[in-house]
Amino acid sequence: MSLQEVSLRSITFKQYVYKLKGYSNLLYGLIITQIMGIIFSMGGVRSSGFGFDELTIMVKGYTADLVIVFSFFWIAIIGSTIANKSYKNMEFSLVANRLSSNLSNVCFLLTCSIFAGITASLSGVLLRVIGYFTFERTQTFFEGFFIAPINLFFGMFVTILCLILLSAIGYLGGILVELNKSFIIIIPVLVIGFLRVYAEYLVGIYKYFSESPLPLFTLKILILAIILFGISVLLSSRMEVRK
Amino acid sequence: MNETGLNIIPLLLFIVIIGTIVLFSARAIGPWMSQHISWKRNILCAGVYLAILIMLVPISYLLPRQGFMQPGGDKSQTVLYSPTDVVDNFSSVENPDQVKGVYKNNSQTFKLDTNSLAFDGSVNQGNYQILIKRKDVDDGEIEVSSYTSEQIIGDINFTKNILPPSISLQSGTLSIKAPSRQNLEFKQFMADFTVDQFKHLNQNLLDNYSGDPNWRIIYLRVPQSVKIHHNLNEYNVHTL
Repeated sequence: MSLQEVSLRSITFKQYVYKLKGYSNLLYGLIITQIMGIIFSMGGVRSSGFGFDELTIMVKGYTADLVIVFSFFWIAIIGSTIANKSYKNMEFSLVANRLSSNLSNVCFLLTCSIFAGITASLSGVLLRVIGYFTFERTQTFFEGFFIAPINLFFGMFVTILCLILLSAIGYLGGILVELNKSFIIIIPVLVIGFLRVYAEYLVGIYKYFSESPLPLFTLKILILAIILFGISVLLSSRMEVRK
Repeated sequence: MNETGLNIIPLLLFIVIIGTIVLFSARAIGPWMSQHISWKRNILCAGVYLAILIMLVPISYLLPRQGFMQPGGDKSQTVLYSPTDVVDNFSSVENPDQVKGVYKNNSQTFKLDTNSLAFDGSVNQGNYQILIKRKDVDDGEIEVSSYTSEQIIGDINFTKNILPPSISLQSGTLSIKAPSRQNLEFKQFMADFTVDQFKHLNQNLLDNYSGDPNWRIIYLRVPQSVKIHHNLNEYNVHTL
């Protein structure tokens, strides 16, 4: 038994730093995912057009949407991955308890969300620079080509918020799977079933978030993320030490 | 006229497939990477990636802005004519270039070796209105100009991209051949959905299309005494 008292904050911070180092290889997944997203986006992610007798007019839209969606997948996967047993076993070399472990995981996920949110939004700039040198400029609309800095920061902020929420969902999923392996089947079945049968509710959920002004959107996302992380912490504290 | 939009199902399927590939490759490569690559190198790689992306922001603002499709189209210039209006408008002016809402995309002069002018069947193909104006002189030359209506998307005028028909004159017979089907593909960089859901910056530019691609004008200036032969089936031939 150690005579030295350690505060929750210091132990959480040490664990967080340890995890930043230990899980840093997970960032390669993000970089590869985003590069793939950029490559696929070069073909255009939206298109609209119409045709007449002798003429077809097509407008192809280019955005970093695909990169952002790929980053969403990545953070959800990371959230569930760091909750699993093999990653938890890494912690036993440190002085820790369930709460500090969960808090450091949350901090790590927040860091990942910030990094992924910034890089995903900036990939829109990379897409434009590549487009500048590869596309015929006489066929490229000037409108929308240069991103206003305020919109760039705005996009980063919203993307980070979405990533935080998805990391919370992924983390809760990972904890549930650790509690009972049958959730590996139950969760995808629930998600796919819900998507097929109650698609209109999903649209409603999407509208609930997307049709709010930014401050309300931020509040909704943060409250939901806190609730999901809170449930994860509560469920996790009921686990046995080596589970 | 048909419109095509984004099909979400293949996109979702595509994203799920890519996500699965990434997940399994990460699981397979991850342990090897954690053993062989130090955390310092991982952080360095991530830092370099972030630095490159940040550096691109000022670089993108420094890129020259010339050459893009810039706003410049004046929709008030876009006039939709019926075939009757076309004839009236062209006959009311001395110089056809003064007619509003049209753009001259080709001009040719042919030597006429006979004293008569006929049209072959090709004049009924496409949406051509053929306007014939007699000159004051018999100079033995036919001046042929083709016009198209102004084509504007949003504020951008792309009329100059429209190909003219190919026109030839052989043994007093004028042949007008429509260009092969032309596909114009434009590129538009848009705001990400994370921004657009709040700021509504993205607009489908084709919703703001104005122009009438259903008519083209062939304007002929012929010598004063030339005889023009055309039958009643050639309903699109008008003498001014």
